[in-house]
Amino acid sequence: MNVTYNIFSNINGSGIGLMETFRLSISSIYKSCIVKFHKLVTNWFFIFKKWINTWKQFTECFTGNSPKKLILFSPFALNSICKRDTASESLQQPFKNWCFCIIKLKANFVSIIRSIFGFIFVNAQAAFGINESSKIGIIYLFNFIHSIKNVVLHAVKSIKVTEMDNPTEITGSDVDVVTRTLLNNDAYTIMDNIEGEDKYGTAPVRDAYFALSSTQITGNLNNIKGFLQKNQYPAPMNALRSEWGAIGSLRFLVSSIGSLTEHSSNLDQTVYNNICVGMEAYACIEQDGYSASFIYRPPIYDGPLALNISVGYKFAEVPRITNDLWVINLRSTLA
Amino acid sequence: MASNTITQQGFFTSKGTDKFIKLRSDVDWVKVYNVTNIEASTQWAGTTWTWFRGMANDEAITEFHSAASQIASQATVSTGYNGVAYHGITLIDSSVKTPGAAVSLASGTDTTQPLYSTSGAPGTLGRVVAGSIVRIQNTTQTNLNGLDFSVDTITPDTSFRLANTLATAPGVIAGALGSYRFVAPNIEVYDMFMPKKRVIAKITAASPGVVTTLVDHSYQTGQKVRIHVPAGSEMIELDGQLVTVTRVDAATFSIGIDTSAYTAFVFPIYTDTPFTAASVIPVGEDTSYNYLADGALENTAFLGFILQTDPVTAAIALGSAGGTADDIMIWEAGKSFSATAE
Repeated sequence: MNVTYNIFSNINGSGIGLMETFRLSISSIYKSCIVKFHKLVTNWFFIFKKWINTWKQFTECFTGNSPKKLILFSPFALNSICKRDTASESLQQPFKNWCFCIIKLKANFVSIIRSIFGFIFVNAQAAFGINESSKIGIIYLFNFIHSIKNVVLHAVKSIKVTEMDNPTEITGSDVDVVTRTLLNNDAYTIMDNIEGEDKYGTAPVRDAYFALSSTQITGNLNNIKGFLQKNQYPAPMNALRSEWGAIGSLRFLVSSIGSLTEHSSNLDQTVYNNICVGMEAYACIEQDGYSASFIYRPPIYDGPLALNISVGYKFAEVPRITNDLWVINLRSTLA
Repeated sequence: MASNTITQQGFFTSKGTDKFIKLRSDVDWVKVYNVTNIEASTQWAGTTWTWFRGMANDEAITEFHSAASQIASQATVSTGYNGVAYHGITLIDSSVKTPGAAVSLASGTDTTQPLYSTSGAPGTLGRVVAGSIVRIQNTTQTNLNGLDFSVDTITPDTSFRLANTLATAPGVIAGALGSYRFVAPNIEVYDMFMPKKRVIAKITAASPGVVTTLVDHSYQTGQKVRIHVPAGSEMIELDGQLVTVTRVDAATFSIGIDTSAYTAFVFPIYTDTPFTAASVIPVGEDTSYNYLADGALENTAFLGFILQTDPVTAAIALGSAGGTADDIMIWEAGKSFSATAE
């Protein structure tokens, strides 16, 4: 559990305290979903809350209860140090934390401006998560990926890996064919290069296209000559969570719901569709600007017993291929 | 069966072929009445078929006239009641793309429309009828292995032929080593989303050139497609070209380009394996058409059931749930509160 220094709460009385911090309680993989939800729904919530807080601050200022009294109120002074109580990592014993509060400069500055203009509005920005949304987030994500996968799979040029079974496992030369084809079609790479560093066992990574693959092929990828695991990147923290590694100018992202076609090879094996894409090869179109949203109706609206909640999502996004020449399906089987 | 669980019902006149019924939701039971047979009292004629969740595909409990009268008896269609097995009801979810079980092939001809003889019983997920899509595997015709084909000229449980003509014969006969898998009963079930990619079987050298696809294409006039022709198929002048479709029939369309001076198209033979097949990829449409607008966005998969029959053998069709030509059929389907194995 991280400790949150809610510094801005110190200066509620000066008008900037509208800013609230809510912590995300779910994995970062759903951040994009949450943000979409946040965009659609939370603005109104925070606008409302902003007015409530504004009124509260106004009242506190006049009643002398403002937290502003905790800080020194001389313009441009940086001489104040706050003693603050924050939660410990175990959440059992609060510990005292001395925090140099440079924000006081801002606080005083805002106060001056406020005294000039009488009032100040600051946009509230926050992100928050609903625990119940985690599962529905997965459903949403899966549906979205499925729709992308199906649309892409049915509409792209295939290149069969060439050896023995038809197709067979991926080789470095297959990756070269894909890369060359995308380059010849003027597809931009998606990721920038990762510069080499003086670290043992690492190697620089070229700017690269993405290959969207199944987790089933990870074993094969490991065995390909020239395959660079993501922990061998000079800066592995820049790799995506789902990334497995890179071969030349192709970085592989894997998913348990990656595309596959059962019983589809020469020898009746499952064929894995490794969809290789360049920048902006496909897009997600928001219909009438609606995109997608989570719906959470708390139980309080159900009745006095608060028995039922509603959780769901609306989904009005459509994946489309923007340029078919920038998408290639590299079909492969397992070794 | 509690009739108040009915979720949908309907009626139709049989064409003597398998009938596909789309449903709004999943069902746990289906009941079918052949009104024509009920009134006719023909001996062995099936009158009512009932399918419950838990029964096998192509199965049903059926009532029939056990004599040339209104006397009714019951049996399952797989047991039959005239010395032969009949066809029943198969639930279908077209979003499931798992092909049927492998069925052994006895042989396959070396022609541009190979004819395959089967040596095994059809897969449990469906049986091959004209217009079905099958996948060939493990045969000595390695250039056809792993590809999907529309089929025609069916002798039930005995043989089928690839419906769409290849530019070149495979180069070798298929021995008894291979198999086929049932992929889909028709194009409607096979395709789930637009655009629909197709492998090319043949391109004529003509003005305009005409493209034949391995699986019926279902393209419409006005659609824009890109033709990919790898070096192995030789008509490389056409590779990457964007063309407008003019539909000729289910399997062919013309492309508005004079290909008569191009290198002749070939379908790689078995010694060319492995190869990347030539393909057609829809990328758009003429502005005066509007085919893609809905189809590309819509998941066309559906839940439903197939009322199966035999279009060739009248004695089998007489007792099958799909009926014979011109039979008046009524059906109802419903959902149970629960359908357990207890």
